[in-house]
Amino acid sequence: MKGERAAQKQLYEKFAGKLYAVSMRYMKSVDDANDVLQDSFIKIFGRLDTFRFDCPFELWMKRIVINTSLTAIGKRKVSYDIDEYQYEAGESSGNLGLENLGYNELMKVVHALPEGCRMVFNLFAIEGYKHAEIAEMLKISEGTSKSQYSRARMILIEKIELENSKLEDK
Amino acid sequence: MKNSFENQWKDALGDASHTPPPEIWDRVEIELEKKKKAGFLIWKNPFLLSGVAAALILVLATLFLFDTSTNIEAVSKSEPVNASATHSDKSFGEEIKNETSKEQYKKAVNANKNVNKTKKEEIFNFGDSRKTALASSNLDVSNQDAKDVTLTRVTPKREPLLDDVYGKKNALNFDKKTALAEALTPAGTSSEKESIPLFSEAKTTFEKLKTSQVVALNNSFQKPVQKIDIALLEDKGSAQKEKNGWFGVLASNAPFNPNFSTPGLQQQAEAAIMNSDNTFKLQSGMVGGGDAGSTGSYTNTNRRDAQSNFRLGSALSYGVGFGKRLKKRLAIESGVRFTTAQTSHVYNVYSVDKTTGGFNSFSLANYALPDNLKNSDVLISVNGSSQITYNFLSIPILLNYNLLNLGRFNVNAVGGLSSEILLSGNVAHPKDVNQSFNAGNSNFKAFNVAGLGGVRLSYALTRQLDVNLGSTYQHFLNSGIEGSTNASFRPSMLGVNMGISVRR
Repeated sequence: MKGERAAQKQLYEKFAGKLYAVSMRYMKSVDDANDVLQDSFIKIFGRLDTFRFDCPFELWMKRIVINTSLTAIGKRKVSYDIDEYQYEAGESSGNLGLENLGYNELMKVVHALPEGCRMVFNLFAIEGYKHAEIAEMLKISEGTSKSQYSRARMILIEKIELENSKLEDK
Repeated sequence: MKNSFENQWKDALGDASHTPPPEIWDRVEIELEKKKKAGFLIWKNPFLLSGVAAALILVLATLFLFDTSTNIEAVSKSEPVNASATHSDKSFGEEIKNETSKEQYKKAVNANKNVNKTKKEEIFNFGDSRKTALASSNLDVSNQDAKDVTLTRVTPKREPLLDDVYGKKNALNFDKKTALAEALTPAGTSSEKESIPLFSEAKTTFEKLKTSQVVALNNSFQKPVQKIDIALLEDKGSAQKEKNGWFGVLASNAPFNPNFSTPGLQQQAEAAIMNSDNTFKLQSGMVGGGDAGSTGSYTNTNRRDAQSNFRLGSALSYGVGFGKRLKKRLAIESGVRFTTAQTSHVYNVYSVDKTTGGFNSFSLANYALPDNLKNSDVLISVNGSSQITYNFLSIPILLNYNLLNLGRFNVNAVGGLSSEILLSGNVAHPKDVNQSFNAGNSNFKAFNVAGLGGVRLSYALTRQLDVNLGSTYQHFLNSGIEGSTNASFRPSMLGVNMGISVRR
């Protein structure tokens, strides 16, 4: 498929939507998300021959988008505030009411997170990485990863409650 | 757990889709075009580079086999005169041009051409003056019997120019020493009179010739003997060409790409993981890569991105070389080099021996150093890094073709093959744990063949000493690892080399 422009476009059209959603989760600005998507597809087409069909193709592409996003964010100085509270993964938090909100509202809430929190939240909650792995990927300590996640979780719960209350008011 | 914070978000955003702006594809397309053009650059494609090296070898070999150009060194002193009859005819003609008519010359040439091979050899082994005499005689020698007559040789009084006997291309087929000796011998000495066979019916005519035309011709060539000496001393180019061999030392520094690939690692690792203890804990004092020596609890994670990267390193080579000129522009060279190359290996898939507590990179343990860990379990964990050193003894055999000769400055293309013998190696893990290997205790092959090619610039500091600067690309033609179809080790180097060589 490599080098065949029509096939590449077909691949792009099939997966661009899902991958763009991934980059939008990590990048706050639309321009940055666009750049990440563009760079990711360049990498995907360039590395197709390294794909061994040993994992879902979509997952492989998604990893590339995530790594590209982290690299792009890593070029900026990201500060990680220390928060002593550490939330235990898997802890039940009751129904958050996410189903009441649309994609745009949810993204608005996620973008409200500070950069460091947003990365850790995405990696831990949605991608399923462990804190040790996130620490390795972001070159931070495991404790920092946990505290960032706790903070993200707290902010998100507050924001979601706020959004839900707005809906109830309507 | 099912309704955890994470799961709710995963359900809400995990499979979300967001249509990107249409211009993104256009931008991707433009970038792909740029990459495509850049992809043609030769140094980005090691296989293409190997092909170029092979083509270079082929071209040089072809030049070597089919090069028929005249060459001072290549011509044997005992080479049959017949092969160079044309040259002799020409110089002969040039000699008489100023003194006799062209018609005379043509007749003489025709006469010579009609003589059978034996006769021709006899005639053309004469000195210049005798040929001049024959040319002037207008003899039809084709019908003569060479055994019946003798011809009294007349020693020329003129002193031949260097061009007549040494420097001129057409005179190159004469025995240089003999010609020079003749040129330097004063008239009237040992070679003044010499009986040589010639044709009976020509005798009378030739005797007449001897006393008239030849003498007259000879008297017209008057050059001082000193001229020859000066010319010889000044002919540095010829003297330099006679030095057709050299030896020297060289050193090079090159980025070293191990090209150590482990396709199928993901499948193998995952298959092995299925039979492994997923909660195996690393123990204190473990030997190997990663966080060796630390007490940890690294378990297999839900990460499935098995990684095994053998990164770009550097190589240092030094050794001695020697060469011999085969043709005017073509030479063959060889030597012995010692190459030490260092590269890093980054990985997140480990082989762990639960019995001994040792662990190592899955790639190294399975493809390169099989005796290190047996009955091992596999886990994917945090990235570990090791430094690998390879020590090779290299014996190259190269063809060297002179592309450009600007006096002291020469540009040569070199290409050929090199035997790469693995002497030893070492894997340096964190915590100062070292693991030595060689061809005997690993899957690395002892003998390998590499193709190499490049360009070398040389500058003659003196008549005997050259300094060289060049760039050579080398790439293993075979995989340096055996016993596995899933791994390949084809190192390549593209670096700068420099050296000094002495012509001899």
